[in-house]
Amino acid sequence: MLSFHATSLANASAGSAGGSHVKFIFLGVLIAMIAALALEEKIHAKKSMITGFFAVIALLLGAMFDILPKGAALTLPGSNHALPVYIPAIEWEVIAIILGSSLFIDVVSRSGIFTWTAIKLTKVSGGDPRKLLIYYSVLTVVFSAVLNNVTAMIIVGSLTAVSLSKLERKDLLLPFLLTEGFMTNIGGLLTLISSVPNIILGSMAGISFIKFFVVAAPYVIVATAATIWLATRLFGIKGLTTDDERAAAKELVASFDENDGIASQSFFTLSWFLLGAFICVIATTEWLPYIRQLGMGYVAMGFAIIALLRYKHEVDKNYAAIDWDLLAFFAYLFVVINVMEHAGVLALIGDGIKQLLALGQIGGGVALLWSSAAASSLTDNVPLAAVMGNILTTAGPHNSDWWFTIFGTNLGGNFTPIGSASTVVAVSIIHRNDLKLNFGTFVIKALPFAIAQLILATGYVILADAIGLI
Amino acid sequence: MKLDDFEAVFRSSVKDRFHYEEPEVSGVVLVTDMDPDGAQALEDKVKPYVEDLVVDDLEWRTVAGPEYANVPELVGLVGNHAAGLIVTYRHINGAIKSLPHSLGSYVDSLTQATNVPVLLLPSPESEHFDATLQRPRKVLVVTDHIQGDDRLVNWGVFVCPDEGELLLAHVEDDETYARYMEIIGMIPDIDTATFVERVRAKLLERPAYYINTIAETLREKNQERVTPIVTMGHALSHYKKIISEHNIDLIVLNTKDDNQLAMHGMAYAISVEIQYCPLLLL
Repeated sequence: MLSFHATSLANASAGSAGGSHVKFIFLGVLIAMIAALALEEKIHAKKSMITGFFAVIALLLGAMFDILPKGAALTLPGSNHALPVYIPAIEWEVIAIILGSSLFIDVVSRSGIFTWTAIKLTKVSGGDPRKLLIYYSVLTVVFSAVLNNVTAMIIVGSLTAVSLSKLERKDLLLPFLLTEGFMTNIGGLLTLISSVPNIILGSMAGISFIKFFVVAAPYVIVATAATIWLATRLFGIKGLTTDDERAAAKELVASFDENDGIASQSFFTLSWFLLGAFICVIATTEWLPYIRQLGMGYVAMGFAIIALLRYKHEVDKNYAAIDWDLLAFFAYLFVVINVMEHAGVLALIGDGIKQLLALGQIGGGVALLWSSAAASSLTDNVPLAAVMGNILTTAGPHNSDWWFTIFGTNLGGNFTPIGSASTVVAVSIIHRNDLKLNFGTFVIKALPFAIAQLILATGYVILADAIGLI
Repeated sequence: MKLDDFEAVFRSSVKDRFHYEEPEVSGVVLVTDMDPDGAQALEDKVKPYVEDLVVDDLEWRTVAGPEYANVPELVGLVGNHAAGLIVTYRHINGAIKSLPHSLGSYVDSLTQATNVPVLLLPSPESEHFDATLQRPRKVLVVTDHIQGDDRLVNWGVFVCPDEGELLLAHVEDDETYARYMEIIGMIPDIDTATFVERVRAKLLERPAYYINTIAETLREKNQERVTPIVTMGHALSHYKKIISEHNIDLIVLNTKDDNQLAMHGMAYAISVEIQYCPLLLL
């Protein structure tokens, strides 16, 4: 299970935070960073540049106000070498999971297993729009759970654009892409490693992979069905009615060759095996001897290395495909959050959260869910999860509070086009296909879905808590 | 893999598949520049060949020279008849000797001003004429873009006897390719070696796939003899080589160019160069 060294370090020195004016200076820095992340597209800056800039500012201010641990933050056992505060501030296990799984997924993607599955489903649908919506939605959920939200959106979104164009149904592209965007955030709830907020919050709460899956899966199934039903109703997506229509559509999707993206049949087969093994080992890490001491980051990196053996002579191409911006974003973000904890900013926010929790077990939890969703709709849910996780760890909440927060941070992304990385990708595919969709239109179209999903989540967590599932 | 990568994979996976649909030919117009007796004599020679090639009991109309005075009149005559196939010969209303590198303005106009396929025979004055009126054993379909061109292939299949061999030739022009690759080699961000290799492979892979679907479809029709020829090179040289090596009896090709009134560039070159083989011009 993950452990947050940085947090404990910060806790140890939390009492050394300066006066309230210092807290508010740092709170201003945190708010400025969150605002900059929300306006990422407007200010034309990559996420890592934004968090990196604020990490530099926060560390400098921390040193100036003397709130950081004196001298070195961590001295390595048996060594005189000391690490500066910003090194242990980073949660390296999270970085290892993201780096390892990104590399692993990139390599197995090249085998064609995901595109093969997506095209196969397209053909099975026979080109019927309603079946296609159901299949693509389920596929998005599964891919979001197994891969990550962004990759799932990229795969299914790009196939959607191509297949609807082939079917001469580009009029359905906008509703399809919107629905798939909503589905990524539902699928992101399925497992502990399906989204970064899950990794952060689940790890801090000590939730195992299996426990996470058992609690989240029923909700994911219900929310998926409800979202598909809403999409067919609100967007008017109907099935084909005549035999002629069905025959013509079937003929059109028959032109997809699912084997086109498979360069090597043996690697294709091996990739299925590796993916299955990866999921099994990740799911059972806490029970596997030796492996459990090394953690999920080791598993992810280990599978990445095994998969990379296929491209051992050209791994630089796979390294080039890694989203370094995302990894740097997380590293800098952990540094900022750590400084905020030293500055007492998280304790300040935590006081506000405690007032929410004081509303009672159910009232407080519901308030957490909806406030997390509201916050996550306007800014990146990763810093939100990191902040909330740190606060909840010290607040000693009820178990269900973790779940209310997990559901809120994941689902809030469906309110706005900037609410999650996958909805940003969905909007970018929409714009690449010359479809008009601005911020306001997105919110109007998304509102019924987001509210329905949150109402379902509220009821579900209350019920799951009541029956002792949580 | 990024958005562009996946889009490329999915776009590449959409491949044209051949769909057989027999062309409809209800009537034939034989266009001559001969007097009525000469035209009738020609009809007697040509009709069995054409009926063997397409279908029996066609509605037949032979146009003799005195029936029209110029190109617009001829086009009008053909249009009024609503023919499914025009049959004519090289240098109609022109002298072979004076126009050795041309089809003549009448044939040019018939191919461009009507949507009706033109079966172009050698000149009746040519010593090869009678020899060409044999049931074809080998039919060659030529194009520089075969994938998705069901109409062209359907005509090739239609005029190829069941016992005959259908050769499907797709030749990518290497000079154009080389010119683009030379420019690609000047762009620093592009890995030229990989690009050159992969573009070439992709250019040839797609027509090969389409031809494969043609072979599959024709196997179901018990027409087994389909020979694919997918390559890169100088198109005209390749076509001439194929025609001579395989003793081709009939060539099927597109002539329409959407961007201009004149005949499609390569079609004109083939039509002029290959003088002693009947051509079906679409």
